[in-house]
Amino acid sequence: MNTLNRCRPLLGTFVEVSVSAEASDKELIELSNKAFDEVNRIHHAMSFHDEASELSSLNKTAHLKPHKLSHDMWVVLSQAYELSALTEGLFDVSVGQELVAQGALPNHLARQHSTGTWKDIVLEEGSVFFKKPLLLDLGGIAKGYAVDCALAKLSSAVSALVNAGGDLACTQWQTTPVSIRHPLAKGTGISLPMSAPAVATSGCYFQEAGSVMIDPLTRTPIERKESVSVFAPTCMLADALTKVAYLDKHRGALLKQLNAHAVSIDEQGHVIMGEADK
Amino acid sequence: MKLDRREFGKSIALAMAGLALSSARLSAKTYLTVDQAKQVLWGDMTMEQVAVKLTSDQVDAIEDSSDTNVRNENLNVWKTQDGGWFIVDQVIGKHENIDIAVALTAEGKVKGIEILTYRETYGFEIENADWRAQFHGKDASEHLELDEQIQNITGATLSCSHITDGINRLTHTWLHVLKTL
Repeated sequence: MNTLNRCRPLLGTFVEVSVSAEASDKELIELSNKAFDEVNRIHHAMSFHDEASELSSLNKTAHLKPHKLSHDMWVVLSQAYELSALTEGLFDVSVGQELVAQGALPNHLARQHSTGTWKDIVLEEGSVFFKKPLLLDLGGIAKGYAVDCALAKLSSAVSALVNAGGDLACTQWQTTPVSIRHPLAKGTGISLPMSAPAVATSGCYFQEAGSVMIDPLTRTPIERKESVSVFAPTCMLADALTKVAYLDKHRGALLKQLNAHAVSIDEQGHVIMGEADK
Repeated sequence: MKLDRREFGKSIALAMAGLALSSARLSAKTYLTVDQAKQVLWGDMTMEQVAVKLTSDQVDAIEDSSDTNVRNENLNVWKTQDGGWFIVDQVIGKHENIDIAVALTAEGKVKGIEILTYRETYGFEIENADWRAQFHGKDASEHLELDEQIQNITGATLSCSHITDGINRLTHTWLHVLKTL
């Protein structure tokens, strides 16, 4: 069995791809290239920063007329909408305008502030329409989706793992431990077994310029000292649910319904399991 | 110029002993070997190592035009058959110390970047130039294995912005030095 571990600077963070198979280095390099290409491809489609991305294009015009979506964008927006409905807006990708106002995202549309929310998103027959001008930011959910798609490209490997700056999914999760960064004591980690194929973590630490998480209900930035990790069947879901669990600790039942669960690490490094696990 | 393997092993052992005695919190993860990185970035392209020591004028020129610090005047560079370059370098951030491999085309454009080793250091500043120097001029097949137990890390996203500074420094190194070699 041969193993190749790679790490490249991508998406403004570090993306790791690990593959093990009965194959030569050369074959593993080719296989891992497919995973990196997939991360890049989805990133380019869903980037808020890139004015030429599919996301920017729909942010520009979807309030004027229905915008036809790629398969990837349809999958991500459908999941986002479903989560918004399940959480009554606690998860909401329409906070792009607040992130622009905060300076966390570029204002390349020079858009006046809009009051729209997820309820103004209409998804129909592979298209999207906004009832009001909206700025969607897919941020973490797109990153999670990119990890899922990259891992799918590695299905011929005996074992595989993709980690995009903490959004992590792997095939042999039953036997894979994961280290969760301590929110404050930088450089230390807390090791836990993976309890689902994917995990993602939200926290405001490492953000020296201030919080870049917005509470969709109050539309204001939030700042908390602890971190929240969510284990879930897919990385897209794990990333989206970290926001939900971060904003409201009492969502254990919803997480359980989605076969997910949350683990929180407080300032002292104590591990607090989500409610549904108690 | 190759470091004798036994010498190298000894220097690493010393470095590790130093770490064990300090209160450093350090995590490290190794990815590709130098040979694997050559394969990833250049495939089967033949290349030859070129000994380059920057003059102080060249260091100044690179620092001025790239707005970065040159920490080591000895370059670990290989020239490929088609005039491109394979470079092994180290990027030192506030809390991390990263070995990278970079491929530059014959026109000085970045063709690819691979992380070889990622070390995080907190509460422990790597000020000692000798300590740092041990990580340069590694045998192509060696990894630094400080802690193999550090596995898969989840947490708030780390920025790779200083990698960008390192790449800037290398593209300007190409412009001022490698381009005419």
